[in-house]
Amino acid sequence: MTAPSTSPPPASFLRRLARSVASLALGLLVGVLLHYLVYRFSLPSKPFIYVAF
Amino acid sequence: MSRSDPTTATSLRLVDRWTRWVRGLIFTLPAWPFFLGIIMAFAACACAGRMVSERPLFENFVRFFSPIQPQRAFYPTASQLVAHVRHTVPVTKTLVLVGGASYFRGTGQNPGELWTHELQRQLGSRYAVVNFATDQADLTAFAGVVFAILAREYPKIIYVANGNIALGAPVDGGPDYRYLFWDAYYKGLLPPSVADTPAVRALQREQLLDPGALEVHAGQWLDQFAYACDLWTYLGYKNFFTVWTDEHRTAPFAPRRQAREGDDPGLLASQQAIRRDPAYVAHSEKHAHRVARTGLMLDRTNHWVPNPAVWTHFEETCRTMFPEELRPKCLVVLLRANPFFLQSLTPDERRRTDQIYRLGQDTYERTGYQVLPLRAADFTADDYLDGGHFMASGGAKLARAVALHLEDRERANERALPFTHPRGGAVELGLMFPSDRTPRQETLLTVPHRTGAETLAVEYLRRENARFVYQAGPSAAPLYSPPFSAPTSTTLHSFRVSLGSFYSRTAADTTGRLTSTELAPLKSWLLLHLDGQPFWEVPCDARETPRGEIFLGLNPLNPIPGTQFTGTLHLAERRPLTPRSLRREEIGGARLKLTIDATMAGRSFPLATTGQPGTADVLFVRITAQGNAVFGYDHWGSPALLSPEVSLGFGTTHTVEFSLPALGNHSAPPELTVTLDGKPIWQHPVPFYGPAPAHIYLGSNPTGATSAEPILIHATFENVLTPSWRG
Repeated sequence: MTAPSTSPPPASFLRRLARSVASLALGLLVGVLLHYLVYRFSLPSKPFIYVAF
Repeated sequence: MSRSDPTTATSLRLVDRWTRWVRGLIFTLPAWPFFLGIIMAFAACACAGRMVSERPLFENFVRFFSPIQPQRAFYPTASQLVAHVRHTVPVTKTLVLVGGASYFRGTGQNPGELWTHELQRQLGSRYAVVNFATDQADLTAFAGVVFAILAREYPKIIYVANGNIALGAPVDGGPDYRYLFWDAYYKGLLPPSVADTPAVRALQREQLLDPGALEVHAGQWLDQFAYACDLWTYLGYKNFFTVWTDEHRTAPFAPRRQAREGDDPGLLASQQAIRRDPAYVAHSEKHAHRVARTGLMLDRTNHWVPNPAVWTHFEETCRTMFPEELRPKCLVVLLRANPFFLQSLTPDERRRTDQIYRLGQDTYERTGYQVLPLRAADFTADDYLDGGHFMASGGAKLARAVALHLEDRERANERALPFTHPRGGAVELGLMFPSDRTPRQETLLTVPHRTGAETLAVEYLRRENARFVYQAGPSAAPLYSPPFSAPTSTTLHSFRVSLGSFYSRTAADTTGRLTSTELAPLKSWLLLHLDGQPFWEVPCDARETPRGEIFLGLNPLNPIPGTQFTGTLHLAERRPLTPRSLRREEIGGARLKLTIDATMAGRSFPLATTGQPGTADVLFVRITAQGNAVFGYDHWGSPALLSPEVSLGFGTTHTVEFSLPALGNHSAPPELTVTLDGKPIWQHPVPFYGPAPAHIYLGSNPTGATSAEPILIHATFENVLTPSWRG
């Protein structure tokens, strides 16, 4: 019986994975920001001014 | 600082290095996870927004106040307002949704002394009062949108808001709150009766051309997919607020749920200060003078008269504010200004102001709204903080007035018999009269129509007698039935009444249940049976009933204290369309009051016509130039028979009774009889054509017979006389 291979993944794969995760995280951040921009876009630009007599 | 500054040069190098590093990092990142991340995050936020939109947002909500109102950049969404109600009010309760402006929000009252608390206390636990009134909101704005959405879910909803006397509101609530209407519109929350109307479509088209309104439409259109307003408003309330406002500069990110509304101990001092403020007093008085001209114009004789253009436009606006089925669920409260600031009004201006309030009330009522006009005499200057906002004492009076109205309305609804479609026939009541026989009138039945209400009342007379009183409208002359005996409060009377307004406009609307021949007399007669016997029958005008309601025991449009029926109703049923028991051929004759007027001189008027052209009989009265009367009988194709001349005189009123064989007086030989003021004056055998029940006309001559004009004037029919009348 021989032991299973435990050789580490190649460094290039890890780098690609890290870049993909970072890209995804950045995308998530931008997605939330875009959603927030839709909210701000939906708010009336003219301020509500309460006129009290 | 200069370019040669070594520190600056080092900083720039550092920034350049970082910029290059970040740029290099980003450009080396793969693109697809980035875009996938954008899509995932946006979709997740939209899902989260959708989820929180169905959750109750507010904690310990009492009313709206500045930190949770648009003036501080807090814009609750339609979904959030609706969710709050859904989670706090069971559908089994009567939801009293309070809308309108700061008058109803409770400006001038501390949170603990709010008028809506008092309203809730007075109405009891069967009602749930929710105060969604907010500053500067019109009748349709803000809470009005919530009302339109929830009316489908809460069968017992009533929307209470203050209304303008002569100025309607835009269907979307106006610029300040239109965001909420279009939010609900694009998310499909509004019922089709609101969203799919020509007025809404026209407004939408108009606003899409206006840059100021276009941004609202674009934002709310986008938000139907993103639910961004729901999510970020939710987070802003619960976790962190993200929009800067000067009032919250010390803690701009603090969640708005942390804002608490405390009591203002200086309200009384504010009240006094306002009264001493000459600018405010001048402004308020100027406003009062302006109100006294609202909707009026000067005519050629320099008198103020209603301006038809204003009131027509107001009526049109009232019809577009809410759809027809929602208007009866709107209680429009007409507020009165603080009398302290009305002292400079002249008596004429006060009279005109009252007139304008009446015109406004009439317009709202005519278009189907409930109206509660507050009485100026019920409020003192101390009930107000300023020109119009109530202090706690005024709020309590407002709550009392609204509670009384709602309770009256509820009693009326419990006694309301809805029309069926096609509209039903006679109404049958089983009732016992009250033991208290103090002479007075009590309402038995009210039928609202476009210009007021038809009422049938019972009038208690001396010696345990009573009679019925019919009024075709608020200003119509009452008609009295013959008296009848109602001896004890333990006798159960059966009472069947048929009015023209109980029936459809045309026979086609009855889907074949009535022919036009059957419908015609039903539309034009009041027919009343008492204890199974024909008792009182008079001709009346056919009226239309837009709301399709009959109210029993009171008049909800004019709830005068002491006029509600205090007896007991044991039975209330609609009878089939064809009231077979109400047989027209059993009429013997009729009794009427006739006033002789100079305009009648030389003319002939029909008292009764039976039959059709070519086979008609007409009993008529001819007034001579001296004001005397000659009665006549025209049997078609034969010379007219005339009575002796009777001396009457212009300006006098007389009771005329007559019976005709064509009406079924069954005399042998067939003869007509005419009695004037109780004295028989003419009795004569006459030939007659046997008319069908549909061709009996009292006070009119539609057959074209030349012996009389088409219509009898200056006369009121009091009763139809049954055959037993002849004794």
